[in-house]
Amino acid sequence: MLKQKRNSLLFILLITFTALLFVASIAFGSVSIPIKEVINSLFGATASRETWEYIIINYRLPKAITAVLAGMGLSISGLMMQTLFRNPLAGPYVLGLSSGSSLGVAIVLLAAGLLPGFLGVMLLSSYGVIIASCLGSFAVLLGVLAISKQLRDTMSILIVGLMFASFTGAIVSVLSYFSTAEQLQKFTFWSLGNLGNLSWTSIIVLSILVVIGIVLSLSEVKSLDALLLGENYARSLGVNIKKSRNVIILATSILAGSITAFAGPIAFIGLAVPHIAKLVFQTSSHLILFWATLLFGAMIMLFCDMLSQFPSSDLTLPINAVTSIIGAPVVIWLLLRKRTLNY
Amino acid sequence: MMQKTKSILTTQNLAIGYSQKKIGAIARGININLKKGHLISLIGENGIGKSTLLRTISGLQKAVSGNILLDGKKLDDYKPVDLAKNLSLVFTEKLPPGNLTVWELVATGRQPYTNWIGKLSSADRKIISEAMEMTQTAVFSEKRHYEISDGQMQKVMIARALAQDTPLIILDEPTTHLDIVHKISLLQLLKKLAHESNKCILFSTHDIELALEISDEMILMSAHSVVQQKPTEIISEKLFDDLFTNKQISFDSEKVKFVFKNF
Repeated sequence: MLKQKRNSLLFILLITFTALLFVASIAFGSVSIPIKEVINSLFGATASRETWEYIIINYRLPKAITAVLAGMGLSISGLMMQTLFRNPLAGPYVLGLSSGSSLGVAIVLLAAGLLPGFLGVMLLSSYGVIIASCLGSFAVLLGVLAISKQLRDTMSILIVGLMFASFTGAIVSVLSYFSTAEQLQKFTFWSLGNLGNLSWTSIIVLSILVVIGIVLSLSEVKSLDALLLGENYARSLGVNIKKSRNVIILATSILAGSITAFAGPIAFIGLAVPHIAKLVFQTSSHLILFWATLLFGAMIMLFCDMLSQFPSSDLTLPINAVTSIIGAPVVIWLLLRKRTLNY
Repeated sequence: MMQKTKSILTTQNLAIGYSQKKIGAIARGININLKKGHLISLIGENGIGKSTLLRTISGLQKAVSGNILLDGKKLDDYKPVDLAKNLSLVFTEKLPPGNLTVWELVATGRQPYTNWIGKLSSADRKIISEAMEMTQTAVFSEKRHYEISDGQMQKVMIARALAQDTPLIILDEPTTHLDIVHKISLLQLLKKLAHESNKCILFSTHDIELALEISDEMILMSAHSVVQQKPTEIISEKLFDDLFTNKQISFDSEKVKFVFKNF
């Protein structure tokens, strides 16, 4: 079994690289901290400077963990969406979830001025944004689920998602047209994505949601393999298509919704990472692709996060821009190499 | 002999079609009886409802009225996984593009038996290799499914159905894209599987003359009726006369061939 040996070797490499990048992303930043000190603080020993320890524990570690959670969650939902919709260009956002989040946040940030005093102030707090974003994506999810009950065809759901995306996008445009420059700046800032700024409480909430989403996804691995043969064969193999479809949509919504709520919309990871995993592992078996996508997702997100932060300088690029700058050429390169993209 | 003629699927006064729409049933009063160890062919004009009948008795589509009993139990009462352990399907439709190898494709047949994450046991692997040996597909087990010919693909899908290990296998027009040599070898394979592993195999086809030679029983679908008979009796009772609405085609029972009038 040469293939199995190759796969195990790849997994070991992936785990090693991810762990290295995790440590490296903590070590590099606007203030450079020696790697030895980083490892010391991570394993509970005190670092030689108190400020270093403070930076590591309260800023860089949460940021690295957020990067890992966001990378894993978005990539896994991309993998599931691509198989479910039999479309290599599907990603976690095809259902219009991020547009829903954007709408929620836009209403809070852009329309809060229209509300009476204290209500507006309350909405503008960071939790107001997170809650609005969750509510927005959840509303779109309920809409998509309600409509998908009426539709037997999985492809139509894809179109419904796209329609939701355009619709909410248009409302966001209308709102931004009527808002002040300051409000608009706040909204643009959110839409650029940000992995930092998460408190430990937020990280725990996000971790729980991402773990729930990932476990739900894992439970559908077998159905996804059957779905590779088309819906008729999947049903003849005992797959309950409607149930699987709903579980997959639910898992994606939890993953994409919560990650967007906490870190803003992050583009391309969900689309590109599953293709990288498929190209490297050369398989359609979702059990292998599941773990491969999970690890690649974490690794690539950590890498993008490091790129967005120039070492020893205050300059930070928006994470959403970095993932797109890297993601778009990667997808084109994959297309040129393989001629066709699979799902 | 008793065991060989045990029936696996029966229908009672079955009506098929799309009940929601106004057109209603496309065929009524269907009483068929599929027995173990038999190779049974389903014959009828295009659009007469062969695929609908196959989809209905395999649970992919609701019946308009009547009963379908699989192993004595109503088809609707089966859980999807239990149904998958009793009935496997082979369609003509092309697989969606993907990276599955032939082996992985056959392995999906074990899904109804594997645990929640789909882990294959060594027993599962043994059944998969046996299915591939029987269908002579083992030689290209590492090829991607888009790299093999239509004839090989049909055999692979049959191997997949065998791996599913069901007493009943239903195939929708398995001979469609094949040349005459591959048609015959495929039908011989089906006959061998039906007789040697005591399975019931039902297939629809337009190759009526081949089906006459090889089937144990035939089901004829025409605009007025659905009849199940042995090939010899179909010929002696002149049941083919009703098969096609076009009266210029008739069956010559001496030549065992369809002939055109005014040709």
